[in-house]
Amino acid sequence: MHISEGILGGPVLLTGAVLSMSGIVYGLYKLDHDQVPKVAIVSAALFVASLIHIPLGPANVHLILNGIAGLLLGWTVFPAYLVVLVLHAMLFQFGGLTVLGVNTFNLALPAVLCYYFFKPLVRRTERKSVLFGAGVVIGFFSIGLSIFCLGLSLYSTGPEFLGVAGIIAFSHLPVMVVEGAITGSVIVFLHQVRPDILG
Amino acid sequence: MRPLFVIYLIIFFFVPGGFCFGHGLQHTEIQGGVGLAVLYDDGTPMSYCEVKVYSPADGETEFQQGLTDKNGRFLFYADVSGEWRITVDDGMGHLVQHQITVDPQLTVVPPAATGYSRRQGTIIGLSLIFGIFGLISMFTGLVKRK
Repeated sequence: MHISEGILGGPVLLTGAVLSMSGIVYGLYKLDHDQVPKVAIVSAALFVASLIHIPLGPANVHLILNGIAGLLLGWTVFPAYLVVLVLHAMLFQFGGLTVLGVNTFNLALPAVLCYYFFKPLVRRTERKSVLFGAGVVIGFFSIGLSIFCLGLSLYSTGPEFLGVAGIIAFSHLPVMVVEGAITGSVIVFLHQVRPDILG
Repeated sequence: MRPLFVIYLIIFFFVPGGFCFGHGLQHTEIQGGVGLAVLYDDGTPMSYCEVKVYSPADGETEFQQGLTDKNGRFLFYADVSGEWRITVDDGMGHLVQHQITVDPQLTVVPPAATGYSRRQGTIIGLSLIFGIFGLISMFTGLVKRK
């Protein structure tokens, strides 16, 4: 779900950069010393997950996992995504440095919203089925919102990109299902072995 | 017989076909060219993606437009030496921009080997992630101690 360089217009790039920078600064402010190893591990997982591609006809999509990342990290998902996307741009030419702000925002904002919307539910409940269901919803919600942000970025550059945004949304429907299942499984597993991480 | 009808008959039967239809056509087979093969990092070709080629003489107007083939390849024929810019857009947010240097003999100057393999990039990336957050941990630890 990286937008490559040379597609978006200047105002969209600038807006994305400013919004992402705000999130990153706030995320670093909220980053506690004890939380750094967790952020590092989640960042590593995000880095590797984005390299797992799923060929779907003409489209080529990859895992994103921003929902579970947001649930675990909260606002610190912003600096985590910054590091991941910088490395993706430098090592694999995914995205690019000028679109770093927009890409970071499109992935990290839905993650933060997942944290606020679903953390209270995951913290309170003990039932596995509810936890798994919450994970599925988190997977759908985070990807859906990321696609919406991506579509908005493209549409803000030019209305002719609306069709492209539709294709991207359609091609990510299987990813939403896969991510929902993965997120649900991870939440249930963490609740069993390390519930304090979800707390 | 009316004179006009006679003129029509003369044109129809005696004037050569090439004259009547304006342009003759000829074709020549060509080989080689300057090309690009574009793949996703997992090796899947970027098939049937929009390609735009910009010549060194005009960086604004496309010298050529087209689509990659099934295997993600595109060929064109450079007519001047210099830096040719090629963009390949899959319409899904993935856009490749590449420059090909063409010498005065209109042959491609091989680029210097760059880039990492997927495995190398993954190992380097993970190492850098833990290195970066190790430094952040050291910094936040120092702040906490004060």
